[in-house]
Amino acid sequence: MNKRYIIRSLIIGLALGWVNHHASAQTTVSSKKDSSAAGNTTTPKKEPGRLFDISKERSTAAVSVVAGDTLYKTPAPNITNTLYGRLPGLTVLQGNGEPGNDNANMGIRGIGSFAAGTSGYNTYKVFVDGFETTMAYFSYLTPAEIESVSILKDAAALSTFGLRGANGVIYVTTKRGKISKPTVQFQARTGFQSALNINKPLNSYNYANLYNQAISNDNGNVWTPKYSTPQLQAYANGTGTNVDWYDAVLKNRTPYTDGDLIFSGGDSTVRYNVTLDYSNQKALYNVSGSDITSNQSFGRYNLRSNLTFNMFKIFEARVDLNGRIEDRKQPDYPYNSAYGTLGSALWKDLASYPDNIYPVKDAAGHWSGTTLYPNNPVASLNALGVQSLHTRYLQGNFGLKENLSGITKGLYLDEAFSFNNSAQSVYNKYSDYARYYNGVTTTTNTTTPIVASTLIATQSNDVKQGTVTLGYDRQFGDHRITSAVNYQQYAYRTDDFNSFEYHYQNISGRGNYSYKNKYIGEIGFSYFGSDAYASGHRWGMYPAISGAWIVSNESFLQNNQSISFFKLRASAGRTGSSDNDMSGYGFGTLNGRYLYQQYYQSNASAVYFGNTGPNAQTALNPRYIANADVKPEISMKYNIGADLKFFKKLDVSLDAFLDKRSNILTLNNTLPTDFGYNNGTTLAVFQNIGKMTNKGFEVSMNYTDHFGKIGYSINGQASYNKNKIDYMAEVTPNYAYNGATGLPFGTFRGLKSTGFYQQSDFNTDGTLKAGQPIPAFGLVQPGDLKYQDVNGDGKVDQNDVTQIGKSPFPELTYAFGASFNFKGFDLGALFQGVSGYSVNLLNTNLTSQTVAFVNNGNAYQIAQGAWAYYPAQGIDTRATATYPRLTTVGNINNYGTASSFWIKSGDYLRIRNVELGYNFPAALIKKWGLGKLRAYVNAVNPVTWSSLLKDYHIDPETTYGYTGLKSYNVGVLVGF
Amino acid sequence: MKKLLYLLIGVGLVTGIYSCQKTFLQKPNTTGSSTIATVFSNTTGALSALSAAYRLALIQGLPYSGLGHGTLSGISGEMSKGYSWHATFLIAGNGMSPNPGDGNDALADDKFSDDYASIRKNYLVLENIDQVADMDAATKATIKAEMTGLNAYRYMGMFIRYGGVPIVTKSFDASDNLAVPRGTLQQTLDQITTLCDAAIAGLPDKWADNFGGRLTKGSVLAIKARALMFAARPLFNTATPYLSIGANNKMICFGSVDQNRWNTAITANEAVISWANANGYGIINTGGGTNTPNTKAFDDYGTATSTPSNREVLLAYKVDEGGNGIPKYFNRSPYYNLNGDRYDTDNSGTLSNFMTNYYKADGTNQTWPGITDAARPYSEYNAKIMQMEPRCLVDNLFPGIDAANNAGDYNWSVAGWGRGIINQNGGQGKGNATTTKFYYHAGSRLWMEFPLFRMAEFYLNLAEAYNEVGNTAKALENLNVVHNRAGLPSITTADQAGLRKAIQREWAVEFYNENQRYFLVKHWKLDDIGNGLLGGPMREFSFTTVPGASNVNLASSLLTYKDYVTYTAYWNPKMYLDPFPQAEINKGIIVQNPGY
Repeated sequence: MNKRYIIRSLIIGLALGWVNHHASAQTTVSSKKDSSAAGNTTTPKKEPGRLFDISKERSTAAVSVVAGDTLYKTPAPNITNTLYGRLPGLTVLQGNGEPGNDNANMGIRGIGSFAAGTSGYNTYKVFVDGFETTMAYFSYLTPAEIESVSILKDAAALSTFGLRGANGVIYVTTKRGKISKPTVQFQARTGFQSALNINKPLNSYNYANLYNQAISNDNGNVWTPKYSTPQLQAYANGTGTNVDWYDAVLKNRTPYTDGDLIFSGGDSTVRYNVTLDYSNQKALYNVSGSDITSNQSFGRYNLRSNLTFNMFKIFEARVDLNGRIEDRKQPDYPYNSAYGTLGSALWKDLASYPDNIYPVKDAAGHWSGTTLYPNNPVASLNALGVQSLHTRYLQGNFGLKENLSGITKGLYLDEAFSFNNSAQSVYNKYSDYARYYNGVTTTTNTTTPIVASTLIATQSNDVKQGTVTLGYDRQFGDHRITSAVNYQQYAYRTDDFNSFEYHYQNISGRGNYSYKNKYIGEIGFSYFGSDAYASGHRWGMYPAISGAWIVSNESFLQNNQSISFFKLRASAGRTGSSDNDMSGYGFGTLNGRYLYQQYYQSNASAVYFGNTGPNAQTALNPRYIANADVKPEISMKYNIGADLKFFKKLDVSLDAFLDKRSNILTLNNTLPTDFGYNNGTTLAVFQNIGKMTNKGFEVSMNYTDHFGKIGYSINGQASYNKNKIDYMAEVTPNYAYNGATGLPFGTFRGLKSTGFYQQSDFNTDGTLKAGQPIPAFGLVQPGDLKYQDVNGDGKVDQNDVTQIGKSPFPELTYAFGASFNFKGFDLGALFQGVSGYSVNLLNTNLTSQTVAFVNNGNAYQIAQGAWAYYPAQGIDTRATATYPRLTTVGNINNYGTASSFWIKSGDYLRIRNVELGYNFPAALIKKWGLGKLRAYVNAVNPVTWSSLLKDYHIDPETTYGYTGLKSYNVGVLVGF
Repeated sequence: MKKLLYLLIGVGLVTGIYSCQKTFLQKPNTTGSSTIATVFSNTTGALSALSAAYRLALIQGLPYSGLGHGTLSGISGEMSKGYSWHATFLIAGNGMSPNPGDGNDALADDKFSDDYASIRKNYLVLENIDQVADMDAATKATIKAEMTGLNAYRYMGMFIRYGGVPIVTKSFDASDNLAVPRGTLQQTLDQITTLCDAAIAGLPDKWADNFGGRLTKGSVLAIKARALMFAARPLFNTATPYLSIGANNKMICFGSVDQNRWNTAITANEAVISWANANGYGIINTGGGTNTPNTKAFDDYGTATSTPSNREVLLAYKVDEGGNGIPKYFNRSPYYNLNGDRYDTDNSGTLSNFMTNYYKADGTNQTWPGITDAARPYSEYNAKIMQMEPRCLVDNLFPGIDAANNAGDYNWSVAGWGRGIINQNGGQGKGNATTTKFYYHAGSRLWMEFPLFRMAEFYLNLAEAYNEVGNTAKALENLNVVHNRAGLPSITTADQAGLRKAIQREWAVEFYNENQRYFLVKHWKLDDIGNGLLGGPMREFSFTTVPGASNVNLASSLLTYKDYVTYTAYWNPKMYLDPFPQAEINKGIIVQNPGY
């Protein structure tokens, strides 16, 4: 492990300890629960779990829980963007902020398997109310309908999940009615969202100056400027073309609105909780709405009705209905594309179109455009029409529980069915515009009137599930047994261009036994059948065992004043995974399924036969080499943990884990070539041979107290994980340090940069002086990147590739916060940060911001540090250069080779949330007929500390594409 | 009573669900595409697998399945080395390497894994064709013979490049013993001839028009003939290998000199010619006869090398890949500027080193300036080009001179060429000319059929083999079939060494840019291999132009020309044979060729 991060974790741990110490030194009078501070998380008493919930005290598992009410504190339309810093063990990295397309990237306990593919994260499974659902369904649930979101982390928590468990589970429960008088609650909030960060390119003047350098470098270092002095002067004095495309396309802020109405209540026969939700978010685009134009927007209409009926003292029926409509509208760019999201294409244009290419419109009022820069960003919003996507979700869960106490006390049977269907349709109104430059059209595009397409259904998928549970829950004196066995059948089907189905069956069970509320043991198992494999490999057994010891219930601690609660936990067990994102190998849609069958795929280009013209034959190529023995990936998980409470004020929870993966489906590069494989897009060999180890720990603490009339609460958490690829059958490297094996997943590898070549490195004829390693990328010049010859063979080549950074997946995620309340006022803040990860500035999506001029690209501030030497022009950055010499044509040595030069730390710390609220006094609002009235203001993501942001103006999470968002909001909650 | 009801409900539910379990976990029918069973259930599917097998088998030596960018001509001394990212550029700079380069698992002219992937694909068709329901037994037998022939083609390609290689005789399962060591040179040759003989017995002489281009008896006779020629040539036909790998020397040479290998080769090549004569194939010569220069040499040679499905080509790589395929590397005309990617084939001009191989139209040698000569007027250059033999003018577009093979087509004229075709001020890569081969009378046609076996080869094989066994008359007779067809007067040199040189020169000219020279020069073990042939100084012409000329390609823009050394190509005796990928050697099963 890296010492730096151990030290950093220790410092954070010590800081938390210091806070604890000082906080606990204050007073021992406990305050009542604080429910309003932004930084605080409220934890439900019961720990949600599959088959049955169990009291937190009796749990043997590692589970983090957050209440829906806590998530509501972060105004964000996508539930994943409310999870930052809320759940120890869950790493959340913000994606882009594009309305309706803004999932965060998440991983539970980091990355356990390289089967995740290049994306690494998002391999967990999501269960809502006990049924597996899709990520798309989960993403746009509203916090108002959520009781709690848990992440299930260890073998004990995941024991019944079989092949769905290896990468953790996000377990969601929705709100149900309780026996109470009817309540009505209305909550609404609105605010403005704005860009978290815009990395603006150089203006025309600075761009042109640098371009002159670049083109001169390409012309044999002879000063041959493209932009003349008068042109540069025109840029400088504002008469030349200088369009800030970001300013032209974006506005400073855009509104967000969200409202919920919740009816809840019930008696001994009927309980209900009905949530009605509406939210609307607009993009930052500066375009007005009309018949033919539209800002990008995301609107959600959501109705959930959870009903419980008790009948004849035997039956408890549950009817949960949820309908949701998601409306997405956006300018139709790229037009005619059913799936294209606006963000990727338009934001790439914004990043890569220089300021001086053309004015938005020419003097005659025509849209500008050229063959090199055909998609005028302003016209992309205003002249291409609109696209409208419409998604509907319908979920119906029906359950019936029979109390079988008539047979034996504590026995029950429960059957449940779930149908979850979603359908998406799209329609476009599209038009096009002629591109003009200097008064003439430059492309074949012509201005066309707007034409509406017919409505096209683009996707429909559904999940049908059924379960039967036989449960037994009883207390005999000192003995308490809670147990259940379950049969689950799951069928997922999608109808679109790649129609496919997923089926599985799961027979699982859990039994929790506790003695005198001190000693707790639990066993769990899953006998899981997956359709991904040949008949002999479909079924597998996944058992787990766990235990806990509530030390504080022993006589020697029972009356201890300082330790109010102390529990030790341990678990071990096995789960599995049948998924493999094979997209990194060019097998994206396979997902590790049916590899026992030899599939063929058709190729566009083939040989042709015949004595006349080239009439291509269809070619069918084997997709990979079938492997009859393919079977699931296995995860062995070990966890130890402790839960403590000191002075009845300070809660501390600790967990350490080890996850050993084996049987990872792996592209085998070690077989002899005579086998006839090539691991390209056809004839690849996949075998269950990969191995990986992942370990780490989680710490969380919460301290609640008051100081006079000021109540306060301080909390903190840290999650650390580090994995290692033990075996991945990679192409055997010539030197061990070349390979990815032995390193954490996704670790950046490349050449070690040692600065720039200087003129003193060369002989007069331009060849490198003796003793310097020769780079394998062709001739080098002064100002080029210089690399370390790691193996000392006098050449810089693939043999010198080694680890040059960390991975793009953080090792440490931490969060801390505090909240205060005083006379109805409350103030809270949540800080969250990560460390131990790297950003590669040569990432394909980032090069438009980091590689100047190449491919007719743009130039950014980073390029102003380029190495250059033109003494006659007064340019000499030989000693101060921070960027390789510029070029307009590309250079493999400098811009086409992964090297440590381009790897930067992505560490950051953000203020995720600050909230100031006021709860009106009960006495006052009672007069108004209200039960509760609260008003608040809050800010989301207002401040960020990051070296990447400071040095390169690149946000560490949303490095490219639609900017991440910050927002300022006001809200009100009214309860009747 | 109630208890019983509950139990019945529960048991009923469980059994009800369990009963559909058996089929529930079978692969759902909406998932996936064709499996091997469906592909080989009918003729259409089987033919699709067959055409995929053809494609991978015959691509050997062409861009994308070896050299990632560039053609073999860029390392054979025929053309300049290309751009910095081309494999040819890298090999010309530092030699072939067992380590990855330019998208290949070794920086070499072959993609080793494609060899066995191809053989696997061939066997998959061969082993499964019997499953096809709607195909008669005779057709199945023919297809098996085709796959056998394609295997022979790949083994021949490996034999020439590596020497002895692992011999695989079926599509392996992962459970098979995959640790197949390299065979000896003799074992590999025997494998090729065995496969050829089996294929020849099962193949037709002719295919229906819609299937033209599939293997015939003749094309497999040709595979055998070429393989046996390489077995007889000095690199392999020797007691001492070019470099030693000790006990494994028999993987890279036969261990003895045996003149009889030439006689075996003669038999095989005569068999090709007699089959060709009986089946309508042959040298295209419409304006000449025995020992009479062909008066229509320009058109006949143009037709033979360019016209799809002409009677001189026994087998071609017939692929139309549209904008981004192999033809891009051969068609340099503005017609190919589809993706603005013509730079991929720029910097690959014909070298001075190679130009001296061309004869003048009267059969004598042209005198070109050397590197010590001062710049000379362009008019002299122009006049010298006009004196050259027809093949030179079919093959090349020269500075200031429109392409003769597409006369009258603006896009094939220097005015319409669009990109520079001359080196100015010591530039690199444009050579003395740019290739136009394979596009005689092509106009806007982008696709081409790269000839894999052309009849001229077997006459030159015979000339070479007869000369080696001392039969000068037969050697001259066969050589002049090719030489006369090119419109040149008969060669009469009688001494063996002189005739050998003449034959080798004929090979060079006749098969310019046809992927032959790189291997021939090595297998002949020519003395100057490192001094101007494959390695050593590579020369080009540099031109000066009228200052401010708007189009430097035009004759009117050109002032002088001068020969100069543009780069020094790397040569090392280890490069007589290709390296196996280092990753493959690291597996510990096969022995690396010496020097790598």
